[in-house]
Amino acid sequence: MNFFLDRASLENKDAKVAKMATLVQRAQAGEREAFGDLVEAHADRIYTYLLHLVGDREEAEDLAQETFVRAWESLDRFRGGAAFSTWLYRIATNLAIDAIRRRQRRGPIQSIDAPVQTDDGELDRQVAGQVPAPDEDLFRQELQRAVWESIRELPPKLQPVLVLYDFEQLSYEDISRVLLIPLGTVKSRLFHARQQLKRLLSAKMPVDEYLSTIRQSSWPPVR
Amino acid sequence: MKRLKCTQVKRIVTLQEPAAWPIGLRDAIEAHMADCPSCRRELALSDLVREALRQTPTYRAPAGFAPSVMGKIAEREILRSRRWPHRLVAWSNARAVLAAAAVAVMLVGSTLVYLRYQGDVMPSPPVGHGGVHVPTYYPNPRSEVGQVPPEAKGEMDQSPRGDASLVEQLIFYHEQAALHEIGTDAGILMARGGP
Repeated sequence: MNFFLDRASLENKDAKVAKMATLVQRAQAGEREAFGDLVEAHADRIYTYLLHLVGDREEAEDLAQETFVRAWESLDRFRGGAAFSTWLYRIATNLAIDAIRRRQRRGPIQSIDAPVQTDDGELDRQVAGQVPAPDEDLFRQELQRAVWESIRELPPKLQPVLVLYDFEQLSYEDISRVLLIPLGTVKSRLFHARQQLKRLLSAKMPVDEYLSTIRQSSWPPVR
Repeated sequence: MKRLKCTQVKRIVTLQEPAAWPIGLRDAIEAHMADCPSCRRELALSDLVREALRQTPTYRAPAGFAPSVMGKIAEREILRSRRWPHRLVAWSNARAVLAAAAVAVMLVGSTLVYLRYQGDVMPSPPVGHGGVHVPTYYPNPRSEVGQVPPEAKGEMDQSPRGDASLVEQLIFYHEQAALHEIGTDAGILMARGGP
C-alpha cells in the first residue's frame, strides 16, 4: 500500500515539475498568461519568505511583486539549470538583503505580529493559517515570534541561509545555488547564524527554564 | 572510539539534526553528550529553534497579488517604451546645446584675440629699396606694444577724435600708417636723386 502511495506521490511531483517547466517555456516565449500562472503558483512562498525576512507586510508585498516583475524582465536569462523557484528565491533574497540594509540604516520597524494602530483603536494582526493557541502552546507561539524577531536582528547575509534551510527546507546545494556561494560557505553561515540566533533568543526568552521543565530534547536520538 | 571535543560536537549538532549525524561519529557524539550538559543544551536549543521555524505557518499572498504583478509588468513596459524616445530627444538636445555653446565660445574667443593682437600680428615691416630697413609703426590704440614711439609722433598726423569709435580709430591709424610708408618711400627716392 505504502509503495503505491509513494509511487503516486512521486508521479504527482513529477507531473508538477513538468507542468512548471512547460509554464516557464511558454512564459519565455512571451506568453503572459503562463507567467501569470507561475506567479500564482509561487506567490505564497515568495511572499512568506520575504515577510519573514523583512518583517513588514507592505514591504514584503512590494518586494514580492518586484521579484516577479524582475523575473519577467530577465526571463530569457533563466536557463533552467536550477528550479524556477530557486531562481525566484535568488531574486527575492537580493531584494530582501537590500531592503534589510536600508531598514537597518533607517532604524527598527514594527513587527508583523504587533497590533495595528487604526483610527478605531488597536487591532490584532490576522495571520493566515494561524489558530488560537491553547495554554500549553502559548510558550511555543511566543517562541516563534521571538525566533523570527531574532532572525531579523541577524546580519543581512546570515538571515537568508537560516530561513532557506530551516523554514523553506532547501538543501545546502539549493541554498548554494540561490545565494551563489560555495557549499562550505553555506554551512559556515548557517552555523554562525544559528549560534547568533541562540544567543539572541536566550536574551529574549527564558529558554533554559523551558528546556529544563517542559521540553523533551531529541537526545538521545531514536535509532 | 574517537573522543570528540565540545567545539566539534556543537558544530555537528548545530548544523545537523540527530537523524543526519555521520554514522561513524554517532557513538562518539552520544558518548560525549552523556557527560556534557553544555552540548546537551546546545542540541536542545537547536531542536527548539528548528522546530519553531518549521512550524511557522505559510502566509497567503494578498488578494489580487498575481493580477497586480501583471499590471505592474504592463505598466513598466509602457513606461520603458515611452522613456526611450524621450531620453534620445533629451540627449540629442543636450548635444546640440553643447555644440552651440562650444561654437559661441570659439567665436567670442577668436574675436577677442583678434581685437587684442591685431595691431601686433601684422605683416613683417617692409624692406626699402636697396635693402634699407624702413621702420614702420602699426599703432594699436588699445595696445602698449603698438604705441607710436614719441620720436615718431612728429611723422604721424593727428590722432583721431577722442569720441571716435574703435573701428574708426583703427581705420584712421591704418590710413596713417599707409601714408607714412608712402612718404618714407618718396623720401628714399628723393635721397637717391629722384625716380
